[in-house]
Amino acid sequence: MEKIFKELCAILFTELKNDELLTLSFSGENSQFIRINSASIRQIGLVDDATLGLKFIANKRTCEGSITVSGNKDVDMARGIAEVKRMRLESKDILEDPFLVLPTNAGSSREIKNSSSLPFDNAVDALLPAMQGVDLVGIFANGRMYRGNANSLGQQHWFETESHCLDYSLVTKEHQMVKGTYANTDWDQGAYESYIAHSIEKLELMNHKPVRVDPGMYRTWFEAGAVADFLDMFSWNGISEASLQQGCSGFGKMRHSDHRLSPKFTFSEDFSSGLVPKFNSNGEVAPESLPLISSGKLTNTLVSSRTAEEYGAQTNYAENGEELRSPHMSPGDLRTEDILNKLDEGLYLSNIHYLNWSDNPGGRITGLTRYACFWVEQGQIVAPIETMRFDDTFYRFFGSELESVGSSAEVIPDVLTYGQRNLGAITCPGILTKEFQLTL
Amino acid sequence: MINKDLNKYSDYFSVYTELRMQENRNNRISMVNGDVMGNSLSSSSGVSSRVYKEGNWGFASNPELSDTAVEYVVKSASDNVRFMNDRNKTQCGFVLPDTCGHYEMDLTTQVSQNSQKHWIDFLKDIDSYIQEKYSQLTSRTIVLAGLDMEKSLLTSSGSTSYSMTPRSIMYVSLSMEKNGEPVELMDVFGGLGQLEDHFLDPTQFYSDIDSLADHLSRKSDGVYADAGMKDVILDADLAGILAHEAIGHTTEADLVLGGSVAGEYMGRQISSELVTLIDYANSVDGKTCPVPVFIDDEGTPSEDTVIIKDGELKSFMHNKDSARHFETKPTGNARAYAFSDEPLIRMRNTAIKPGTNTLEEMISAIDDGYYLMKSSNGQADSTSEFMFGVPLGYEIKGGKLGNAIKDTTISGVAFDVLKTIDMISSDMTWGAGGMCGKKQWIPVGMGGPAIKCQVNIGGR
Repeated sequence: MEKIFKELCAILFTELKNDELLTLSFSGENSQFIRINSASIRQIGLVDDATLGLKFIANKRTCEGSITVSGNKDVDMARGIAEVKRMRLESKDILEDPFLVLPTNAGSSREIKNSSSLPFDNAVDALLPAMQGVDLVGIFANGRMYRGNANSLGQQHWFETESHCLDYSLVTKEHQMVKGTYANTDWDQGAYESYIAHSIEKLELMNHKPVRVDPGMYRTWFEAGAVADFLDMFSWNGISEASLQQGCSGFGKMRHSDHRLSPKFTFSEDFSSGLVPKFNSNGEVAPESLPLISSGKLTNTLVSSRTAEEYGAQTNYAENGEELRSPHMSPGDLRTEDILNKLDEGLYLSNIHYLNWSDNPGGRITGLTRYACFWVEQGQIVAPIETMRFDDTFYRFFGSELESVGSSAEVIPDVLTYGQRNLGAITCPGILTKEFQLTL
Repeated sequence: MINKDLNKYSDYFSVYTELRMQENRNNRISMVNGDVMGNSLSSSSGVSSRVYKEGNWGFASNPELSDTAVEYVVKSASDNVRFMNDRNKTQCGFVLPDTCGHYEMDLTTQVSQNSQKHWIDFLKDIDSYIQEKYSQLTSRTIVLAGLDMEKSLLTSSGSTSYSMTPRSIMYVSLSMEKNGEPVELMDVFGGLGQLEDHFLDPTQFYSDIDSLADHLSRKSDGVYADAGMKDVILDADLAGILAHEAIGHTTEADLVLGGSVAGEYMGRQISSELVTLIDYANSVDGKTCPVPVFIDDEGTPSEDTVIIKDGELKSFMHNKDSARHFETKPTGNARAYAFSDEPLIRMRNTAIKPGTNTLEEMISAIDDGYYLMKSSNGQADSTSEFMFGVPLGYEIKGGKLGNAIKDTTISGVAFDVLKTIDMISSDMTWGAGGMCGKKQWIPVGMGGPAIKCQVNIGGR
C-alpha cells in the first residue's frame, strides 16, 4: 500500500501547475471479517479497500475529492489525474475560501507497527474453542490498516498497523446478554481465552432473575467500557472549539462560568500509545499529549487550523471535525478487588447504550443500561437489573458525585466499520459515583 | 458508469454465488453564514462476491472494476466457504430459497448536470435571502448533498439487476439566541432524484424558509412541555421514525434471531386495530417511494412486507438465510451500502398505513396535549424502548394549537405506544433524507401519516 501511495503522490504532484497546492490523504485496509452465530462461524470475508482523498488549493479556492484506489497503477493514475483536472477547472469560478489553511512542509514521518498477529488461516481454529458451550454472536475483524498523508511541498507521513478485534455478545436462554470487545495488536491466545472466560463468568450471573430497579438516584460503579461511552460523547458538541464558539457545546459552563469537574477527573488527548497516527487529514502533527481537563479544570479544547483561522485561536492540529482521536483518562486509586466493597449497595454497570445529549448546554446525557448491569447489596452482586433509562449530567458523574476512580485504565477499541475499519481506542478506568439518576 | 450486464462472468460460479459491481458517488457542499466550508466530490467503486454452501458463507471484495478483480473475488469467496465447509459439516443440506428476477432502473436526471459553481451559487442565493430577511439570526448553515448509488448484480440463480438510485437533499439549519441560550431548528428538502431534479430554482424554497424561520421565532418564545404521559399527535416525521427505529428494527429477522422483543409477538395483537405497518418495497398507491427497491442485493424480487396488519404482527423482514431459518419466503430486504459491504436485512420505506382522519379532527380531539412535528437525534433498542428528540412542537389546549414548546424528548416502549393509537390521518408524507446505520449506512424512506397516541414527554 505504501508503494502505491508513493507512486500516486509522485504522479499527481507533477500534474500541478504554478501556485497550485495538493494534499493527498490515504486510507486503506486488508481485512478479514469473521461473522459468528451461536459460537459457530457463519461467514468469512476478505476486504481489500483503499481510498485516496485529494484537497486542491488554487486561487484561494479549495476543492476536495476522493477516489477508490484499485491497486492498478494505470487505473488509479487516470482517476487521480481526472480529479486534479476537475478541481482545477472548478477552482476557477467558485467562491474564495475565507478560512483557507495552506499546507506546509513541517517534516515527514514513517511509523510501521509490526506485530505478531493472527494469520488469517489460523483465525477460526484460534477463536472457536474458547467459546464452545455458550451462545456467542459477534464479528471478528483482523488485519492491516494504513494511513498516509502527503502534500506537494514535500511533506509525507505514513502509518501502518495491524490489529484484531472480536466484538461480541454472549446470550442466555432468556435473552440476557453480556457484551465484550477483545482487541489487541499481538495475538495472545492465553489472554484471549481468559477474556472470554471472564465474560462467561458474567453470563452465569445473568441467569439470575433480573430485578426491577425503581427510578431514582443510586450509588453506581461504571466499568471502563461504560466510562468510554460517556467520554465518546465529548466528541459531539463537547470538546470542539468550534462548537464552543458557536454556542453548542456541553463544555460551555466550564469555559464561560468556570464550572469544574471533580479534582479526580483528568483527561487528555494522548498519542503515546501509538494506536492512531499523530498526523491529521491535513498532514498536521498533533502534540504527543494535550491536557484537556486537568484535575477537573478545562485546560484545552481541540482546535483545528481552520477553527483557529476563523476564531483567532491557537491551533493544536486537531482533525477538521475536532473529534477526539486518542483520548486518555487518568486512573485513580480504587483497586479492582475493592470495587464491590466500596460500592456496598447500588448499581454495577458494565455497559451503557444508545447515548444521546438530552440537554447539551447542561451536559445532560441519556441512554440505557443494558447487558451486564447488576444490583449490588453488601458488596455482593445480587442479580442483573432490568433495562433502565438514565438521564444525568457529566457535571455530576464526572464532577460533584465522582467518589473514586479505578486504579487501572483499560483500552476500549473503536469497533465501528462504517466505510472502513476505524483506528483507535479510548483508554480509561472505571468510576464510582455517589449518585446516578435512573429515570424510566 | 459500471457494467450493466454481468452475465459474461456466470462461468465463474460453481455453487450459490452473488456478484455485485457498485459505484457510490457523493457530492457535498456546506455553507455557514455565507462562507463555503466544504466542497467535495467523491466516488467509491469496486466489486464483491458472496458464496453460500452447506450453511456457510464466504465473502470477498476488491476495489478494482475489471475482469481480473471479478475472477479474484469469486475465487476468494469460494475459497472462504470451502474452508468453512471443511471444518463445519453440521449444516450440510441447508439450502437457500431460490429466487429469480430481472430489473433495470436508471433514475439519472434527464436534464443536463450542473457544475459545483452552479450549486455554490444556488446555496449563496438561499443564504443571502435568509441573511437579508432574518438579520436577527445568529447562524445559518446550508448543506447540499447528493448520493448516486449505482449497482449491477448477477446471481447463480439467474437474477440480474441494474439500478442507479440517486438521492439529493438540502439541509437548512437556523439559529438564534434568546436569553443567552441558542435556539436552533432545521429542515430537510429533496429526496429521490439527482440535485437537478429537486433544486431547480432557489426561489422555490423561500416559502419553506419563511416557515422554518417562523417556527424558530415561535420556539424561541416557547414554553417547556409538562413532563409525563400525554395525549399527543406525532406528525409524519416522528411517526416515521417510531415506525422505523422502534418497531421496524425489532422485526428484522436477524435481530429477531438476536433476541429482539418482536420474536415473542408473532401472530399476536400488539397494537391498536387501526395500525397497519408496512415496509414498502418501491411504491405506495402507484407513487414511487423515496428508496425504490425492485430486486434486492441477493437477487430477490422485492415485495411489500406487511409487518403489522390491523394490529396483529404478521411478518418479519427477511433475507434468504433468515427465510430458510424461519421456513418462509425472502422478502427482498437484503441490501448493502458499499461494494465492500455484504447485504444485510435492511428496511426500505417503512410507514404506518394512512387512516381516515384529518389533522384538524385529531387536534380538536385533544383537550390537553401536544402536536409534535419534528424529530432530532434519537434511538431505539431491540426491546422497542425508544427516546427521540423533539425540536419542534406546539401545545394543544382545548382542541386548539397553542404555544410552541422548547426542545423536548419523547420516550417509551413502542409496542405500548402503538396500543394507544386511536386516530390516524389520511395523508402520507415521506421524509427527504432518512439514513439508517447497522454497521453499514443505507438510505431508507421514513414517514407516514400523523398518529394520535399517548407518549411520555420530557419536561424541563
